[in-house]
Amino acid sequence: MKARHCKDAGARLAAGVLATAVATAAAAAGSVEWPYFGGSKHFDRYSPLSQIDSGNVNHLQTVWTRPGIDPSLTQAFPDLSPSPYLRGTPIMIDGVLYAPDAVGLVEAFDAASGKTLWVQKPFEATLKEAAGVSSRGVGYWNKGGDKRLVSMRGEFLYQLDAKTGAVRPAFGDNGRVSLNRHTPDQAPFFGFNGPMIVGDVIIVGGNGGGKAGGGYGDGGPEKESTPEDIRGYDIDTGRQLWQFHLIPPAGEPGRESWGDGSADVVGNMAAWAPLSADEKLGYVYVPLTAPTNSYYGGHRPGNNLYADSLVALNARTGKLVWYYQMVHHDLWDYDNASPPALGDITVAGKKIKAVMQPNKTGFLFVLDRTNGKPVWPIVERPVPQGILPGEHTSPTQPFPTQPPAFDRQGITVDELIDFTPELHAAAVKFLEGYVTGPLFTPPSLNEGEGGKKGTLAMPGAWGSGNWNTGAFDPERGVYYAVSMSLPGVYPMVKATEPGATIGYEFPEGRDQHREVPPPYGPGPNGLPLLKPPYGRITALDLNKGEKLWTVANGDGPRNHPLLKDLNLPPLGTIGRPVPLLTKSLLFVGESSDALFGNAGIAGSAKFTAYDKVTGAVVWQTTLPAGTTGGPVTYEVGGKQFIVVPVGGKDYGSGWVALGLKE
Amino acid sequence: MGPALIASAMAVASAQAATPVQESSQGTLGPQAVLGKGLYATRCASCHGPNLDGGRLAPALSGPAFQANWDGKPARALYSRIISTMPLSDPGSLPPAEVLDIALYVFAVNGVSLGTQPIPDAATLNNIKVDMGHKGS
Repeated sequence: MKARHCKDAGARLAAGVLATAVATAAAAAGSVEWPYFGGSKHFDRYSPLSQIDSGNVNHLQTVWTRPGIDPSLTQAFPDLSPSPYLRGTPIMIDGVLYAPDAVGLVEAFDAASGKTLWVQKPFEATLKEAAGVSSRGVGYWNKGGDKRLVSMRGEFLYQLDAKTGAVRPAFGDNGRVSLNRHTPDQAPFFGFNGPMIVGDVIIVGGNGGGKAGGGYGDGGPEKESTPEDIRGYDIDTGRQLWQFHLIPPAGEPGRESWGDGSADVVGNMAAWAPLSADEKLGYVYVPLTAPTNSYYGGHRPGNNLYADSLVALNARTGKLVWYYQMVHHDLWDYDNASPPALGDITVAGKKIKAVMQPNKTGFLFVLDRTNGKPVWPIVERPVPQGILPGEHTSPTQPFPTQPPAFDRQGITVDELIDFTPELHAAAVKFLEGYVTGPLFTPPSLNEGEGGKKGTLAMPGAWGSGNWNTGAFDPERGVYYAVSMSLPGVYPMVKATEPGATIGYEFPEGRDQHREVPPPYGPGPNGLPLLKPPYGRITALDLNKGEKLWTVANGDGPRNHPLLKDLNLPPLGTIGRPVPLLTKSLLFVGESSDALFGNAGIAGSAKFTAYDKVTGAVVWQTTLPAGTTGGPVTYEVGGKQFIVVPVGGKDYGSGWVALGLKE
Repeated sequence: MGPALIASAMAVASAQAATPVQESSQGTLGPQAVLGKGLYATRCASCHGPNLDGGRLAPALSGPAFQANWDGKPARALYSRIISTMPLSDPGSLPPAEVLDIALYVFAVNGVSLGTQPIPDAATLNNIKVDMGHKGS
């Protein structure tokens, strides 16, 4: 009898323990996080959440909004008048959203209600410390309940206590570390990303190699600049642990790719786009950009490593594991301006841990992320030579054979707008004023009256691919490239002003996308020069290396007075919308006048859900303003939310949270 | 610019005899706007263009699009935007007195008169409404 009693008691105890475990698991199951601003550190912008699907997405409604800057800051500093370009893409950890706000201070808000939990205080109570520019996201680190956030803001790397938002005094100088580099002209550091944290190391890219060209060196009159080296910092102390040199030091391989002593002179090449990381391998993937001054290279003969390369670094030591250069001796500013997405694919029966790097050219470079080897052959093809005096164009450039390019490359009359014969004729006449040709046609002189006005290239220097490009579906091996088709003019002039040290520069005050009146860049009657689509989504099957489909994203100019009677389908809108990929849907906005208002380019405030398999539009809504950062999704309390950063000249900025009607 | 306005500007100029008044293509610049012009050249022109037409990364600070943005707003709003967001690489770093002069220069280039009195501080801009002459656009 006693034995049976004990056995029953034991069974009840076991059942109780099991019930508690199930209850705990159920509570955790009602919560699915968005742990990095790129979805995960793979930067695939993907969530497996499926509560919102094509059957109910039309029941999404706005559940809350919050302004891009907490009222406590504008009350304390009435002059704070931030730009509406709210890049801040939140992370969601344990029921809390963390995002950089419109001035780059971190705000924590409740993921279900949007209510403020805390707002990072300016380092000192001054307008100077309150002022700032929005960044794309924050890094999060947690060891045994010690939870910290790391953000880049202005020249500083900050570390905050995630529970309170207070700076952690032990980090750097009372909570922050200066990221300023030593440059010839004391240029301040700046960077728009969130830091990448791997293990106990914070890895930072960013710009600030010199003041020329607005801090980017692009098109400026000086060849002197500082390489924007990658740096690793200690999570506890903020001490710099390592520095990866973007120009190989003397004696190291790759140094010979810089002729005429240019390795000691030039710089830039920053990681401007977000980084990604494979924590199992311990590697961080760093997308690099063009060397000084992006448009002329007579002073820097050679391929110029590691400009326009993807480098894989050991996150702990900063040592190079492998590199791949996408553009040799860049003359177009054809940066790797997109995050390198990581994902696993199966090609011809072989499982490959891949990295997918878009470039401004419209190529997607797919490499084995363990060793940098191309998954499909990438061939060196001859490209146009010439043209500016003293230039040393690369005889060839790398052309991936698969997958196909995700946007237009090069311009001939066959690519020109042809909705009507008159528009086509006007475009042909417009083109005659420029040097044009296939991809990699070099920049040329703006000859002035009676001559050519420079090179008209496709893509232009803002690319087809940019920081918004890319989401990857780990289930189906499909990469979604969001891109725009915007040609650019390269009207080079001899640099003759006092202090100029470079041969040729971009004319001061000129903008290559405003050669004719806005809103669509160079083209007749304010219309685009090219055939549509002007903004698109391309689905690439990376198990096969093939294109699945292309769809236009947005109406584009279909209602322009000259076109509206033609009843055209959506033509695609020029912009930089960031995609969000879920179990069945792909969400994409059109970006707003906050991004390209200077060039007269403004997307609408539409936000569209596409069927991720077919590309069909499933649902569309209109947000209070166009998108300015990445939409994110997460689940709390068993309910899925989508939060979208938006902003525009007339609206200001803020986050909009969408959820299903109860 | 009408003769009355020029007369007022001259009156201001003679009251502050040490500071020059310059003729420019935009009409007469008051003394603060003259200071602002010099500051603009060193602080702003490299991105916004020597003639305020904008550049590769920066919008025009003159012309119809700019004027449409600011017409009807308190003059303080332009000062606030500049002092809290510029330069892009180091926002908040410009001294308030410099931002005031730069704002007055930008207003002058766009044909906006802010009255005949000197403007000693940003607060004075709070109650002045920008009139770019774009009614109902």
